[in-house]
Amino acid sequence: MKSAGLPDPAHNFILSIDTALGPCSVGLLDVASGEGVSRIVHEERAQAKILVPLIEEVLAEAGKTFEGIDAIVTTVGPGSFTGLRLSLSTARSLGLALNKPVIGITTLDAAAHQVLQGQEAKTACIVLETKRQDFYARAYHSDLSPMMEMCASSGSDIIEQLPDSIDILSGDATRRFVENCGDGRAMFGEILPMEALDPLLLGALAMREEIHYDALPVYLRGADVSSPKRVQRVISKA
Amino acid sequence: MKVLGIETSCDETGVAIVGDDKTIHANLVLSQLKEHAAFGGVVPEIAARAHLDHLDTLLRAALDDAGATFDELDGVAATCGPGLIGGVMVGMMAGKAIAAAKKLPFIAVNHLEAHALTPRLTDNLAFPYLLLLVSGGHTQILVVEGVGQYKRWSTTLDDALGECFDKSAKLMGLPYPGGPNLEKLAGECPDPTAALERFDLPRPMLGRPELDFSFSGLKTAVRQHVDSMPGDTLDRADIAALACAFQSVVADVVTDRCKRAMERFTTEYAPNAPTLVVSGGVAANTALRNTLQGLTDTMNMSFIAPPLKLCSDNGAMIAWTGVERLRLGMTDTLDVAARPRWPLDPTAEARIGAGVKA
Repeated sequence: MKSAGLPDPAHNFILSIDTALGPCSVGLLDVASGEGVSRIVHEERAQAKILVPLIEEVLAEAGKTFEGIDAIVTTVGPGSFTGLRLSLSTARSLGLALNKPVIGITTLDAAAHQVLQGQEAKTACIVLETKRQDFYARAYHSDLSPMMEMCASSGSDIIEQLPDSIDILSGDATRRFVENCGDGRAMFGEILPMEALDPLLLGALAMREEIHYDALPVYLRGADVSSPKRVQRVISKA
Repeated sequence: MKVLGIETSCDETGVAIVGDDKTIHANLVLSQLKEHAAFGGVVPEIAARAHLDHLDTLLRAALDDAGATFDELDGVAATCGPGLIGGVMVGMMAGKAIAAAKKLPFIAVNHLEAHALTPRLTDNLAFPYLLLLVSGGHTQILVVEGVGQYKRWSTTLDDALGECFDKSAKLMGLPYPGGPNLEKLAGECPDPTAALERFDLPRPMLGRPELDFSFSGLKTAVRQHVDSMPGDTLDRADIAALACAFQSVVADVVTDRCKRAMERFTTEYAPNAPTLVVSGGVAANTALRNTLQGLTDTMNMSFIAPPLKLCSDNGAMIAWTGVERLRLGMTDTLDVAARPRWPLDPTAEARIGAGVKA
């Protein structure tokens, strides 16, 4: 984990970007007022087309220019492999071109903050889509401190790591998770599916240094590779 | 005019800054050879991961090399296809983000066009010219009529020549990257004529009136020769001879195809100074360069092969394509999509089997 300090949080405009969950989400948060402009577009296949124009649109609506951005927050995963590449490459290049800090937040932390915001003394488990058999998951105490490491695991392995009961199950994979965990359903107080991260809440996490990450992808698994099937013959030394 | 160029379509991360006066202010290429070596070839997901890891370091270093800042740029060009899409996305988004942040024109570059226009960066070459584009993904003969204007005369019907080099090298027990290692070992063969007699290899498409290529049969023949070699380990001299014979038949096929194309080019276009250009990664092969030099000499054509550094994938060719297009006002909006398949000549007749290599 790493902190990326902000000079004067009270007078900052934070650009936030998430494409790791599926939708294209962009926000510009005015820290002083707590308000801002945000857009969520549900077109996963068009993220690469939409993202940069969407950032321009949000800035224009907020009456700001790129120079008016003080910091950039991006999700760093775990999540869609391509989505991560898009948001991280965009955020890091913006940071480089504007000479502004780029703050990484995990999708799991962002989702936990979103679902536990305004909830009193509740615990949560976040499950996110891997588009494979397993799930990205992490459970949180009511004070938002994590109960476990982030993982990419099967439904049953995740349930084994959890206490007897969790107040809220949330994330974009809740339906599939419930279908996969059999009797495990009973341990969750309520299920709150989450379609997208709130861009303004993501921006506000720029003030939570304890959950900042470097703007590097969090994969939680190795690259999808297979070694050559055919054994290569060896050439004798000269 | 200075344009930033970003290349991430395969296993090389390239960033360059090139001026409209053809000055290359910076040209950095980070090859992922080590990352892929253990797998014997380029692994798309490893490539996509590595591009993201290295790109901003290279961007910073390129600006340092050029002694420039983003504010001194006049445009941003990035490869938007064809290629491995996970990698293309990384460079494309970086280019779009910088263009947006600095209010610069964005140029979505076709990687093949960048190879095609490279001789105009290295030499003062006027349109039209004949181009043999030979890389790991493509093998085509094209007429370059102008920026964005191409006539594709032929393509490979199966493997690209670079692919055939790499796969044959792998069969011969040579390490990745195969092409350069195959060429090196072929140089050890003391008697090329005897090697050709010893290893019967096909010369696919030789003598055919259409200009297409085919290399998968050649690769299969290499496999059969290697499989018939006795013992656990392969004898180095045997492999050197096979590599030498392989290069020789490749040269025969490419010469035959190019000779026919050159005849057609001079007839149809009657250019003032007819020129054949070879570009793409395989253009780094010295044997092929020498063969084509000899062929153009006998046909009174000029021959241009860009320096090795500008033949393999690099950012300078992307930046230069940005210069060429920017000068003509051919810029792109920031909502362009990456294109895994992006033919230079969309009107060219489809060839059965050619797939994305067309």
